[in-house]
Amino acid sequence: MRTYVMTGIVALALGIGLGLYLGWIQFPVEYEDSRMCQLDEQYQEDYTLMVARGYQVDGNLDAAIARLRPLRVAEVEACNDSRPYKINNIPDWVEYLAEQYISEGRDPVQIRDLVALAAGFERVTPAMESFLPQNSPVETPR
Amino acid sequence: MSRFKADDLVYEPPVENASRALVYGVVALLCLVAGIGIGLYYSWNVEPRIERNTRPDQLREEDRVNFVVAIALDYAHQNNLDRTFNLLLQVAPEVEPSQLAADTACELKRRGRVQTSADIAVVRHLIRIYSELQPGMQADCDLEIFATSAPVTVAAPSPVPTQPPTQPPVATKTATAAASQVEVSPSPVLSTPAPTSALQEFQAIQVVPQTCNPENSGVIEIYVREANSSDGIPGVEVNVTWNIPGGQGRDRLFTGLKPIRGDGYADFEMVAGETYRVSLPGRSDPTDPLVAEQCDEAGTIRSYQVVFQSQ
Repeated sequence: MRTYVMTGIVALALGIGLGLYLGWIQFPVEYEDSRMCQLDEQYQEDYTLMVARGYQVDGNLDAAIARLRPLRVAEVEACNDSRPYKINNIPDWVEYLAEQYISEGRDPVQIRDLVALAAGFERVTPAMESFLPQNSPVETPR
Repeated sequence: MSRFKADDLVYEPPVENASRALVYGVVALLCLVAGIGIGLYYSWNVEPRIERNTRPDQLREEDRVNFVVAIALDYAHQNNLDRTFNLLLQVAPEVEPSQLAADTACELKRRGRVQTSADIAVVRHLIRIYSELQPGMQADCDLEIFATSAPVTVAAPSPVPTQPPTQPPVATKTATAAASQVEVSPSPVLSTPAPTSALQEFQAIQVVPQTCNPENSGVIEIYVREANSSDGIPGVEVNVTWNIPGGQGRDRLFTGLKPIRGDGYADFEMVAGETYRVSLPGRSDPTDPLVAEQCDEAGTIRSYQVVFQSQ
């Protein structure tokens, strides 16, 4: 009887271990209704770049902020993960991303797109100055 | 003397071993399955792994729309249809990208998210995307109002007739109660733009300062209509420009977004002290300057009515 119990305990422990591996690593929960702040960091960067390009098209800073606002972590419990950078302040985020792209030597075209938006937020740092566009869009004061 | 040996009466070991092995196996299997179940339950429900690799197709509906809007902006800037196609596939791999663009345009309209000129521009980008991805495609909703107006077609240059300076203002098609209270100023028409370009499709035939009305302060009311008709033309882009330090401010409006005021109506709120010009980009010359001046001691700003008419 004792050996049956021991067998059961060992099998149970193995099963739990296997179950955790499957549930956390192999088949983790697939979230279907995720929020923008949960997007993979690469997609968040892509999204910010696309909005920055939109700013160059319409020159509308208010619209750019409104479009980037869903990236904010604030008040979304599910977004409080262990990312190195938590997006709470949109101009801060754009400045951070532009500087990161500059420091990583990314595509200058992408850097210019981000710097143009950072300039709209008046967040131009010395590192960004050489990437400033010649004719930045003019914000409409409405 | 017995015919059986003592050993024959002993329980046969092979049978016992087989049975014991079977029981062990069953116990182990049951416990293993139970363990897997417990592990999965814990990892999926109690303490699921915090998601950090969400793809665009896993976003909730509202944020998918946001992502497609960003793709439309990207397309407006990059003009790269292949890139746009692939980006749209990321958002909804199971949907035809052109259909996704059309559905998103309809969704924006349905959610009332087409409020500003920037929003309208996004819808136009989306229309352009699905039209180029799938020529002849129609959205499931009416986006006619946002569709780009027909190109300018002018047969031959001819002098643009100017209106007499005392012409009364044109009645609006469907004036609201507020608007109907505003009496048109008896003051003369401010200006009729000089025919600087006879090739323009539209001409500002009236630029009329309104009486000082605190309930309608500092508004440029713009009407775009067909020649010899009071029918307004919806979806026409209107530019309002003004000078700011180091450049020129600009706002884009579209007619027809306030149907109660008429299909060809759009308006713009001025800031005191500024000077504005109104034009239909590429289709008319700009008006003479409209000064947002105070017209009473309460700080009311004089409003204007501008009427563009096709040639």
